[in-house]
Amino acid sequence: MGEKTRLYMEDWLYNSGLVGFYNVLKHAENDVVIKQNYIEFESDALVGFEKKYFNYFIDKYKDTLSLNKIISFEKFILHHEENNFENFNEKSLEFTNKYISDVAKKQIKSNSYKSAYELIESPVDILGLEKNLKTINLKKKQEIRDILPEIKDIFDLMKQVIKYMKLEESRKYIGAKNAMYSVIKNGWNGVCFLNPQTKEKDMYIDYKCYFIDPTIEYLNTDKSKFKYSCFSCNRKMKDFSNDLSFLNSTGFDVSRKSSHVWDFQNDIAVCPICKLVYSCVPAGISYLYDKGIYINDNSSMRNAIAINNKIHMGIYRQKDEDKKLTYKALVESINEEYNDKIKYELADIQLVRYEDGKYRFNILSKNSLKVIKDSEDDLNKLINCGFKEINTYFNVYELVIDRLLNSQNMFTLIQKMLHYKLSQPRDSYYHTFHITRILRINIRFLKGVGCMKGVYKDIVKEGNDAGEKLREKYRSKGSVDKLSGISYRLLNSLKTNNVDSFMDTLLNCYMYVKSSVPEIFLDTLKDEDKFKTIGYAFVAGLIEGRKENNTDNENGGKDNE
Amino acid sequence: MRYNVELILSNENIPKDKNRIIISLLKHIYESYDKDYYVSLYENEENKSKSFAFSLYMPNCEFTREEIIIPNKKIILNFATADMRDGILFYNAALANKGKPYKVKDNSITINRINMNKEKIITNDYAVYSSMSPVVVREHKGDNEKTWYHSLNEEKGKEIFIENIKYQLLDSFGEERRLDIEEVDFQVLINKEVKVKHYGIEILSNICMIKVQAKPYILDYIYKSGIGSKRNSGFGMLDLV
Repeated sequence: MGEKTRLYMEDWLYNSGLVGFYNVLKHAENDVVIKQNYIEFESDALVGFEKKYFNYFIDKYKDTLSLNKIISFEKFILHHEENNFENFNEKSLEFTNKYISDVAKKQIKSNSYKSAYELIESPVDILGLEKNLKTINLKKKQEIRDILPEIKDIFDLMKQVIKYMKLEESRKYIGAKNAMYSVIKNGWNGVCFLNPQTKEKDMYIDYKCYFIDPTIEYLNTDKSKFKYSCFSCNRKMKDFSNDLSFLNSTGFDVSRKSSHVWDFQNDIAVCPICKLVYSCVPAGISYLYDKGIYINDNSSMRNAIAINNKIHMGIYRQKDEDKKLTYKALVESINEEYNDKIKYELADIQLVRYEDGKYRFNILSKNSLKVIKDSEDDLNKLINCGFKEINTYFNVYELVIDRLLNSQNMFTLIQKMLHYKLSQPRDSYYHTFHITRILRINIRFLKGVGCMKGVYKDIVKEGNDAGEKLREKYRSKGSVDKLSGISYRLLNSLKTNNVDSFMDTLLNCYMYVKSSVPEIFLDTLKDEDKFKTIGYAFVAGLIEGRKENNTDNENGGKDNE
Repeated sequence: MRYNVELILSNENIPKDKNRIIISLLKHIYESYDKDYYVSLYENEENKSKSFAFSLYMPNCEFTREEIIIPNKKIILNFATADMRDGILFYNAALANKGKPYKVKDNSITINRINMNKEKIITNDYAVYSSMSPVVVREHKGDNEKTWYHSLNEEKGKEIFIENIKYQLLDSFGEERRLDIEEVDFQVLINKEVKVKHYGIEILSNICMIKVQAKPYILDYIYKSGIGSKRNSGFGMLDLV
């Protein structure tokens, strides 16, 4: 032992594994040497790697693990006990009940917890405690004071539960179970401790047997007589037993679907070292619930580690309300990188996202990075905007970034948003000034790709103002209700790029209110992108007009223009 | 884009050279609304070809030797253009001058109402037009001495007419549409020769119904911008039949 092993950077998935491998070792305070395109570690580091592995996840994903949700209730209990339940009101009771039914009872009874109890050596009968946990209902004519004894009983019970959960063993096993099902599962599945039929109940031992022991054994054997070579790192290996099908949306079942390889002879297999690295993929990619993000900065190992850790920190530093956004962290790290004066360091780097069980790829182009950077303000305003489509909630911020990363313009998104604003205002959580913000971002994007040359005046504002003014005129004629029909027609013309019908409708409107057509529309005739930009800005103004009361915008904060 | 504008006269007789008055009115409203636009239309370039055509409708009028008598003092000015920008500017300019009398000769004109007319969409590769104002076939070789006006009843007139159309189309669509433009053909269905007084001379022109075969976009362009010569001076405006 004591030998050094080098692991070189390869494709993105392997790189994410390397970053994860590094993270795990670093977290356990092992020495790892980072060089330009490889990391080097001593074989000793593999001793007890399974503990380091789970510790990393339990610590890094602390906030999302359900174990911690249970424990976090302790603060609440202590607070009320200290104050002798003086502030305990109906709201607190509601909170307690919600906690008991949604968190405590639900989790304690869940299968993953049950299987962990078997591993924990403790005389406490946790399931028995769970049976006694009951929500407390305030009957009519009863006051909080009357049920205080009951509450105190429940709190005592809860304290026992929490005490159990805070045991070192509980943290070790329940935490590991949590990490397995909420984090690790996003990276790989179906083998080792994630195999539902696994024989070994203790995931630590399971991991050790499945990943680490073969690696150590492999490192110590003489490889000179091996015939085959690893698909990933080209090290010599004995046979093709380690395939890649355990990784999510990678690899395939070699025995059942051999048609994927040439001549039906599988040659895709990796050595135990690579397999161990691949098992660290979940530690490299930053996950937030079922979404993940990884930036494959493969120019240098150091950068790859730095940027991905930055993103991980970014995600978990966010305030609770916008925790849904993996992109927010990305944008923040991009902006930080910009400030670090290494402006173009990030350009042309692969961005990998894990969503809905699939990997998606983008290249961070110089242009989109610049647009994202320049649009920081506008983007921040969009964080809380969203709309519901059937039963799915879409966040506008993510949609916009998605489009920027894919180098798509926003017109179809704006079309959709305006349409929803008209047809189902209940499910569209944004104002039309958010749409003008998107239009501005879009102009920046279009300018970046070489369109909209020579646009210096603020056509979005002018278009929007024209819409607002026309709305005012309709209002003074008492026919505001006509506007939604008109807006539909205008939107249709914009969607189909039909300048003629747009202008026809527009002229009819202006004739109706007997006023002249604003000059800004003469600009629309020259250029398709201008036409759409001005047109959409106009419709946005037409639909909503000037904000009647500034205080009432819970979605998206104040628009300070 | 087509509009009809109601003009109110203060006097019931106007000179026979009526187009001249309308051109004067157009220049006046453009100049007062947007000087730059006026200059670009009428001053920057001599004999600039413009994209609009107009015609006049005078209900119950009576033609005398020198004058036209309009008993209800009302003229409907029909205005059509293929260019959106010109259309909008015409509307804005007319609106800006609404209700303001414009003195001309011994009369004055006031714009009263502006309406937009719905345009029909052409989807076939032929269309039948009837003239709303007389169609002029002019043989013009850059020399006023040799200018000659033809009738659509004659073969020579038809030849020159098609030549003029192709020249007009090529000018506005450009060389890349040459193949489509070469294919344009027409037949005269009904024709009546008339003589119109225009800037002091009598111009031979044709009140006619013609059928044109061409690609729909060309037909649409002809429908909107008129046909023949002197389109911007009250000739050659068309309507679909």
